[in-house]
Amino acid sequence: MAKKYLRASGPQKERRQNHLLAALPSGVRNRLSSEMEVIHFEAGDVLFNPGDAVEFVYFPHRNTMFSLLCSTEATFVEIGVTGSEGFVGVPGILGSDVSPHQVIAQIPGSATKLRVRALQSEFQRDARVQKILLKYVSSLLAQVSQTALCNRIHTIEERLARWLLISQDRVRAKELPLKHEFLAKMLAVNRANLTLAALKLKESGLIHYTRARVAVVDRKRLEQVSCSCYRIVRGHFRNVLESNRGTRRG
Amino acid sequence: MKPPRTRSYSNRTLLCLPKEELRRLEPQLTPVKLNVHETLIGAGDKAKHAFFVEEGICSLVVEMKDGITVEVGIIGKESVVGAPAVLGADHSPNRAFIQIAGSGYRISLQHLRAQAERSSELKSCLVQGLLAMTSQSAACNRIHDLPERLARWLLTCRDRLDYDRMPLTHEFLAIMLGTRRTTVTLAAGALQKAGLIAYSRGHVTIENRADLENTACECYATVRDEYRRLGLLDGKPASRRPDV
Repeated sequence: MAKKYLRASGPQKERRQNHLLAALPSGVRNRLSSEMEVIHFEAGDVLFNPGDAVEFVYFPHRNTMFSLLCSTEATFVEIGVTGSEGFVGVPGILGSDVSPHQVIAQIPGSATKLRVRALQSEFQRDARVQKILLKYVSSLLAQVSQTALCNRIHTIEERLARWLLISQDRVRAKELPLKHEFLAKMLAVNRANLTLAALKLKESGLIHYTRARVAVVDRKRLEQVSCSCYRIVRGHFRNVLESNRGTRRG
Repeated sequence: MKPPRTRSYSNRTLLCLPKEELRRLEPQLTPVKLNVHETLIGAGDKAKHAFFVEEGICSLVVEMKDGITVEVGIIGKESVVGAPAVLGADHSPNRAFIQIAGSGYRISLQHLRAQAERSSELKSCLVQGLLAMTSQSAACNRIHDLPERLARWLLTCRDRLDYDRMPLTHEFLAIMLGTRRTTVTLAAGALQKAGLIAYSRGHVTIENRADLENTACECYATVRDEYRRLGLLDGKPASRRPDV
């Protein structure tokens, strides 16, 4: 697992890259800044395995996205994603010391790493911190809930379209570095079926892809192909961003 | 003014609270009857109340515009209906409606939020179980088959009731499982034929619990153990699951 640890050269800049950190009261941010560290990830890097102790929480920056996967006897299934609108290691502030899920970095990028005890201490004493973080948790719950329906009802094509749109909302890049095996794993479908679904989208001019990169070509039409779960999850995402804009301090 | 008579509660989340906190909350708890099919919180609603179930079962579903519904969770006396709103959600992501009639306590969100702000225990109780159940459902719905999912939900219901004969129609089960009634009838028929359940006059009784647990996907035990670990269900959780 290749991870490069870099001291933040511009801590202000990094913190503004995650919406929750940017929304925290400045006093809280200042107290936490000595505990913060910027970490870089490659695609596929594992932050938590099921059962791992939550010692650190991670606030993704705008260039990356993490996947939450539920492990079953047979396989892992993606149940949600977290980008710069949120944080991973949620059990850490809910009073649990353990991650029930696997968390992987989807797309290479960076995040702010913070010791969970430091965050817990601010969380416990400041209602504003509770409000900001718990609002995110409630939106995560909504996303996972929608995924429960989507995974049951919608086709591979609809889910693939949805997934690509959700990723693009979070990661500001024209092209996403994504291998088919990875996508197939996220969507819990067999790789051949994933490739067929991707081919269909490509032939309709909605996406462009090579073995390792995907680009959304026609966003509007891709939204039409996607199930409405995309729009619903995007609504939850926007809710969190908007509420943080309201509470943001300088 | 006479102090209120001390109530005895069945709701596990209430029982998790320290005595003084429960006493502070008590005047805000209004006893209510929970009638079958009654919607406690509509999807997209800005909820005003939360509910502590004492008896009965509440179903949490995600609904699509075309009417397709899939259950993402079940809440009974172990938990609270309306947790997302307490945490700050503006609108309810799910519809919460009564699947099996019973009773409980209603509390205004304002009061519950005020209480939750003071109590980190309450906050944890409110969401950990629900997050675990919903997450597991998201995975389960993707990879497990109807018979094992049906077994899972029947066991999950039974864990939250104090009696055996559960009033559950096939129509209801179809909504829960996101499938057609005819499909449920077939699956339920197979479980009945194998002697695992008995279905008569709109009621399901579990006849062979051990074998029904074996038929269920592992999602049943995973969520049950998490609820046990949280103290919301009776019994000892299995030892921590090994890394996959």
